[in-house]
Amino acid sequence: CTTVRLEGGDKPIEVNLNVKIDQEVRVKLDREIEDLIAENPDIF
Amino acid sequence: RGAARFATGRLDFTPAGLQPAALAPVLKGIVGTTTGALAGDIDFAWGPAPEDARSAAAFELFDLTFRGPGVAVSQTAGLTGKIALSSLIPLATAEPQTVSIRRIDIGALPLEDGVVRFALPGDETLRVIEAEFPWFGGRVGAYDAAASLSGGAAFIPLQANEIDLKLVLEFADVDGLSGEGRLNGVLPIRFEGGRARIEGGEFVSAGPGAVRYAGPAAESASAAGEQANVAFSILRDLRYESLRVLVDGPLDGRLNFRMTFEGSGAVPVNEQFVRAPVIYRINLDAALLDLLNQAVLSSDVRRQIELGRQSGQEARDRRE
Amino acid sequence: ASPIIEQAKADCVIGEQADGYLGVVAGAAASDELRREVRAINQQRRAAYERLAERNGVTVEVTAKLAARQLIDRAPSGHCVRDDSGAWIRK
Repeated sequence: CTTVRLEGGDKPIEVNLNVKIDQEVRVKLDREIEDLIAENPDIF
Repeated sequence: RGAARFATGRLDFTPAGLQPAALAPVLKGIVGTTTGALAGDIDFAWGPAPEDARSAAAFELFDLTFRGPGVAVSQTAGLTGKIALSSLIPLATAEPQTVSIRRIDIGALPLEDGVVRFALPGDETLRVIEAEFPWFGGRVGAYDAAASLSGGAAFIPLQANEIDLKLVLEFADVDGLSGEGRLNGVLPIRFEGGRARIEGGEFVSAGPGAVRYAGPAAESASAAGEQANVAFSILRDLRYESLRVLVDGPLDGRLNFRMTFEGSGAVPVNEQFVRAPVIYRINLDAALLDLLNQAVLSSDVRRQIELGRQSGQEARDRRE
Repeated sequence: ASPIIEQAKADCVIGEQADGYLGVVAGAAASDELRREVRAINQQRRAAYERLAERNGVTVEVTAKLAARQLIDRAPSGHCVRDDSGAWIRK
């Protein structure tokens, strides 16, 4: 069973919460970069 | 022996017109597209011996705004004040100079309305005596930091004082997240290869505080299993005695935040809640940019929750 | 880019890096004027990456690295490019 008895002197509960925000890189970005490079020959 | 003064008059910089690199080629790639104005007097003195040749200058900056300096700093805006240079070659000041800055953007870290006191010792370095900006109810600043004028590399340990957690959480603007508390800390920034990184950033709480989260992830937590349910019920009103936040990562990329709260939270026990001592660690990997415009703890965020006891085995025995 | 930049690329004095910026090849002799050109180009690239990153809701770093992949693929043989570990390779 999962009842948890918590007396005063009990050890602290430890919680580890890992949050990872993934940026899904859209194909759109790849194409926009292609245009960026093509349109700015002086810096690429 | 002779001397001459050259008054520049007011020089207005415009994107399509006059630019600083035209006046001083060495600035090319350091100071980018510039607006605002500059006026100054340059004094030359010369004589029979080479060491008689001297140059000095007094400049006034009018809301000077430019891309840079360098690549890591996206923009410096509203630089205003008077600067007296005791020598042009090498660039040097006789005593500290003070200018105000409306805003400086180091990647995603914007600092506004600051005042900078600096000196140019004449050895190709810039000595920042004090550069301080109001920040989240407190202030952040560099104190007695040095950077080389020519090379791109620099290490600036920013110090943050009296930071108000309530204002930080309001700025993060995460749905259902609030709290209060005071933090002090350091944000060491290394500039290298055109990029700025926080290395060993650390904030420590000054006195107790609390963090409360009742956003979407909390509501969906009970359905996500017992661990998530306990983790988010504690987070509904996590009161801490001590909070420590470690920050590392590139300012133009993803930062890693490791927060450790020591305090107490309400834990669900047989349909009612018992307040218990907790050690709550949040390891958050996010771009500063994301932190601002995405709900950090929103339900669709991939998260992994571990729930344990300091002595797991002992607690499990008690339960059987 | 300007002749001074194109020539320096062809001679392996400068080259594309994995972080999306131009770099001086390790050990290569680069004039002050060339270094200033490279600095100015990198500043403008950074501005372009920032606009693109803002529009797509991703970080500047992600955008710059994606651009690097395309720039490195496109670099003709004989040019030098720098990989993630920092090593310069002649294509």
